Amino acid sequence: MLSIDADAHVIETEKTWDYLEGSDCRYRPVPITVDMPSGKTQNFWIIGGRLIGGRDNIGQDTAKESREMANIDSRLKHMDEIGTGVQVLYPTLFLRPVTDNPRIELALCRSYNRWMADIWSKAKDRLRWAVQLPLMTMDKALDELRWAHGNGACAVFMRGIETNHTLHDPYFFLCTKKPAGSTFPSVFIPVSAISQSMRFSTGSPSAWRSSS
Amino acid sequence: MPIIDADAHVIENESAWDYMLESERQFRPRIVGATNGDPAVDYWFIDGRLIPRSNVEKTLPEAARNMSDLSIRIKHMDELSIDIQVIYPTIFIFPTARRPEADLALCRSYNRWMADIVKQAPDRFRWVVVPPLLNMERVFEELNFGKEHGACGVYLRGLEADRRLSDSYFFPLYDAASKLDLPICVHSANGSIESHDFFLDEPGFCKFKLAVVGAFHSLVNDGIPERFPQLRIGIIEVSAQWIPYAIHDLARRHVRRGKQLSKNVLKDKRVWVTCQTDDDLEYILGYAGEDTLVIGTDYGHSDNASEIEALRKLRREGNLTPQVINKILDDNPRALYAL
Repeated sequence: MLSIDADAHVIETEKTWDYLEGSDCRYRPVPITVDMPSGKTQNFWIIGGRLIGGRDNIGQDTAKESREMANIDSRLKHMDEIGTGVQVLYPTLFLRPVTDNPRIELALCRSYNRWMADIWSKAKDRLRWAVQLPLMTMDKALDELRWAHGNGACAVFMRGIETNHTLHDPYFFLCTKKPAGSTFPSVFIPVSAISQSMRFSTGSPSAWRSSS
Repeated sequence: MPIIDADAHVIENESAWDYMLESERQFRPRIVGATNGDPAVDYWFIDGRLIPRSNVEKTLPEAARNMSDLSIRIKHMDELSIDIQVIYPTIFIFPTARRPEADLALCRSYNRWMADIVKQAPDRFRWVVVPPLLNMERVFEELNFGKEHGACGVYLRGLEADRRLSDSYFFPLYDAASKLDLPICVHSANGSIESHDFFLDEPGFCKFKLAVVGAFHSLVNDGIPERFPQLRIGIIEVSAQWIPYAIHDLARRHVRRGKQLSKNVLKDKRVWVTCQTDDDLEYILGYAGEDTLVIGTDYGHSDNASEIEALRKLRREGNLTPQVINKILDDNPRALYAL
């Protein structure tokens, strides 16, 4: 019987952003390391002028090339060792709010999704993934959803709060509708809400800042 | 054996604001309704905000709900076999004031109103004092007033002053509560305007209950019980079903930091939690232990946690041993509130 790991992660690398095209290249995230006042170092991405954390939540019990998907064979070998037949891959960067700029969001989602599709194409029967949608631009989100469905995605990644809306907000209903006149088949794909929120401090309860 | 209702309410009426100073009258809450008389539209208007007045159990006599005639309330308590009720506010379940001066005026008046009510039957009623948290320099004075007038706890919401409860902003409060032997009682409620209003159209689980579960997690995870070793903590009106989840999460986080969470974390951290009769109590006791659960009726309210017969039902229908039931009804609330 197949064992399915329903929640595995990839750690994004600079390679993730190699799929940015044209003018979107100006939004390419830049990795930096900061010496913190505590004496420790902390790793960030610079995205749209903001420091975005989350590059330190890394399982040291996995090989770098494996967690960053630089070597798919290494990842598959490790999956074999731990008895996992299929992994459903979720992002790491997008666990937190990344940008409040719809253009940056669209560019990063597109690049991340194409990186993931490339990974899937190398082990279609072992690696599936959750698509990251540019939810600030709903028409583009639907395009991305359809594209991802044809490229190995088996779920839609969502955070507990998205684009300053709770997930029961009608804002998200369009996601489930087939556009009028579309010849594209209906997409059957689950929505997977994960335990993070997508709100920046300008719109988020400052009370919850620095909780993780 | 006395039976203690660890979570009962008063429904404030306009006399709650009669204690405001002349200089504070501008902040006096006003009852507002629809001009067409629609009874569904019923609010307090406070400091520019509307606070619902709808969470009221209307089958109870009004004089019992607002405690304007204690004989009616006490007669009902006798019928319910309740010896002591610990009274929590209703209006302060919501974030009430934006301005410190309004916050102070509301808290001061409410606390003096409650002191006047409770002194009429101090052997049957105790109450939780509401601290003016936008005026930290006035908090000790207000807690001290409460302590001298029958208060047995300090009322807190899951988020206060747009901060988590483990924020160092609250350390003077915890110091004062410790010195006065008053527990902080974190009630299903939210004092953050931003957080409350974000969840405005949801029924209360996210904006009230999850805020309180999060407060418990923050307080323990950030070491507040160790920093204030005399401080007792009550977690009120969010059922007890969340205890296994939160403790399990805390234990894993401790391990990741190379620490060990104690086996009886609630007792060791001096945390008590109100349970409901429909909680899976046998399962919860495995995490909470026998010495940390209390129970309340939510008297006066009509919401997801209200159960006027809760205390009698626990004794009559509960699958727990008499020893555990006695602890939940008497020993544990007595320890929490230092009664």
